[in-house]
Amino acid sequence: MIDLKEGVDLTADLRGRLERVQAEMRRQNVGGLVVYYRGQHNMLRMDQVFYLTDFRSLGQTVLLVPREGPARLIVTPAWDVERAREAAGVSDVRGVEPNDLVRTVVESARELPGPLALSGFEIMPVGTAAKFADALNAALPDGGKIIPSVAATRTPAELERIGHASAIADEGFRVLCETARVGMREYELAAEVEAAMQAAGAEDNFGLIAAGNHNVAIRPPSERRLEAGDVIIGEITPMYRGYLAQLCRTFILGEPTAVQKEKYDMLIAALQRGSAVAKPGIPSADIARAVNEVIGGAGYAEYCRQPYMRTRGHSLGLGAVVPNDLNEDTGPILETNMTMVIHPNQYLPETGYMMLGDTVVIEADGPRALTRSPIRLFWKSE
Amino acid sequence: MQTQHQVLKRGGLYWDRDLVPREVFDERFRAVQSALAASGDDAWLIYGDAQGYGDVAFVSHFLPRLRSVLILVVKDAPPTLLANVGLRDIPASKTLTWFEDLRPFSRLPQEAVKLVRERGLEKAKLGLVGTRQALPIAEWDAIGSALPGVTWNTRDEAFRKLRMQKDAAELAAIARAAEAAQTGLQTAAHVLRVGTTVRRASALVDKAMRLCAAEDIRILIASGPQCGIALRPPDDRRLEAGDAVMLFIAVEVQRHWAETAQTYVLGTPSPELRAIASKAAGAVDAMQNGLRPHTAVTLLAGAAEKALGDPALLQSARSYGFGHGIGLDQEEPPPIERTSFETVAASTAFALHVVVHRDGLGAASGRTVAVRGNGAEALTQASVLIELPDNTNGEV
Repeated sequence: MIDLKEGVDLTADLRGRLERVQAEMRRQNVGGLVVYYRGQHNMLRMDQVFYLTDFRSLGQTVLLVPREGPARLIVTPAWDVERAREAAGVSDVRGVEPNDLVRTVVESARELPGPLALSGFEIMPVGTAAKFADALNAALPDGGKIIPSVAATRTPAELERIGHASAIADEGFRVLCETARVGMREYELAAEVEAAMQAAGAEDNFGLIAAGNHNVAIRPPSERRLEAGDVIIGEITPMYRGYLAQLCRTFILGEPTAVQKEKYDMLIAALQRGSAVAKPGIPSADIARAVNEVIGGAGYAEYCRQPYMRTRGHSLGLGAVVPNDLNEDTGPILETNMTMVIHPNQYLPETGYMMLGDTVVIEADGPRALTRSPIRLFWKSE
Repeated sequence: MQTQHQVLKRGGLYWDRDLVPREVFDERFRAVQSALAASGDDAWLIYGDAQGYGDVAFVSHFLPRLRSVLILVVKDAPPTLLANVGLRDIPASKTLTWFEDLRPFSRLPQEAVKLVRERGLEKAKLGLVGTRQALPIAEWDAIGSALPGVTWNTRDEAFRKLRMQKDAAELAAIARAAEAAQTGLQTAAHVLRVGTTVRRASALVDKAMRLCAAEDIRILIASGPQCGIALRPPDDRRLEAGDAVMLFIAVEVQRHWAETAQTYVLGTPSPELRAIASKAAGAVDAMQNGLRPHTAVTLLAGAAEKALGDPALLQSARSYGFGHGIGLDQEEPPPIERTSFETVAASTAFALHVVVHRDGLGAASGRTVAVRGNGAEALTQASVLIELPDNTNGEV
């Protein structure tokens, strides 16, 4: 069983996050920030309410942040309010029914110092936005970048949780290798992996497991039964207390061919080259360039683009969004304590789609892998 | 009931054509075309996402597993579906729907505007379905400003009427989801044991339902002292002898949802727990007994409230609600509430639930029912209170 004891002072960690956000608000001359979250959790999107409260909502939620002093959390549905009060990041919590959310938020927002800004335009539904506009009698400016601008790197509490999520991902892949067998349906294999990770502490999972003798891309598990020789690709992404880690690996149900081994070795070299450049002060785009140099250099330059691959890695929401996708054309400068998955996942005409990737944290000397599954092609003969 | 949305629908994702045959969609699409013609619009745009995809799935069977979808229905022409997936995902996406024109997008406004222009609809009358509830305002502003010549009409109500009466395929699929939910309840009776954690027991319940080809699963649970407070997502609390456990399950199979709820106790229940569990189950029975086509929904809520009686129980039950329609959306209209002016459709399905808390105790009872003919048929079965062993020697 994975030991998931937490050793960091979460309350102090959350207080530090709020203080950094409030300093940024003062710098941008924002008196009060209204942070809207719809409750539609997404691996590639930051949950800004969660980041400041440690509360992962059921329904629509709004956090009201003054430029100094404590924040107020308004949650729906009302019956979930006690769970929100248990969260370490906020003490002023109110529960309301969904129909009362806008009215309650607008009344509370009047207590905030001005000028106000709103975060959440990119997720707020048309109908909710219309209610806010009517109630406020004004359109608020977009404050959606204030919190992400001070949340590019992970705090000690966040790193600890991402480490736990990584250990759970390793456990999930171990169970995949152990339980995969000919005749099993893809969704049955996914269920085994899911259950093992939930039992180990996972509360959610961006999990994709697919199989075939020539995969085009990763996809959700279907009703297809596993066959001898199948290449099983897994994007295993458990969440532990709001933080995701991702492990990408490839498993063959039978003996791999020489070509499969050779091409997978190329992906390993690409991962190693990409990891070697992932240091503080370096553009994140350099990771993608390094990966593509290896794969392109092996004669697959034309495959280093969609639809043969999507990206060479990415950050993982809910609490983290920087550096976003790892592509050659754009990206921030890497900083110590940024976390991301680096994955040279690739379609190749000889093998189909194969996957390899690890969650890493950027440290002074380079990236430290948080997922620990061996970096190799896995297989078993029945 | 409100549950916690997941980052991905990650269960078995495919189209079971025996359960939901292709011909079903011919009939539904003809109905949509007729409603479109009757509205006077030139075309309809139907929007959905992973949180609310019922309108989209009704006409296409497509399921957005993490992001959004937009469908364009034009008079006398095949429909087009824009899916927020990559180009490489299109082959797998096409296996989920009968639509032939399936296009990927990364930015909805650009692709939606391009599609409208491609069909020569820049100055047309376009109906909108599902946008108010789910389309982000930033995307709507971009679409609206790029198409100044379009006259927009909200058609949520017209589309709702199309879905109000469920066809045989939809009821069959809800029944399949109900079977998975029932499996979850039965599994819980085997795995809720002293010494195990709620998270570990929930993992086994979840797995049992995934093995029934569930696409998405939501579990809310309360145990021990939590039963006096509220349901919540599974946590790491370790079960103790004498604990009550309130379990609520929502499960999606082939795009269709079912819900159920049950109270368990690890040992012998106190008279007080037995009393409130009996009240909760009785209130659900009262709703089911009154559930017939054309019945006023307010009467169902009234029957539940009368069965509960006690003010404290009423207060908590009202907070959770007494239930709602269910099908391609986990929560469909009409909500069962005293203020409702709606009536029950002739062929439909409801999720009935009563969750109560009083004096540090709690109980949950719920079931999914199909309304057909002259009455309601329970698709899931729950007991008033299931007594489980209060030692660790049970089957885990």
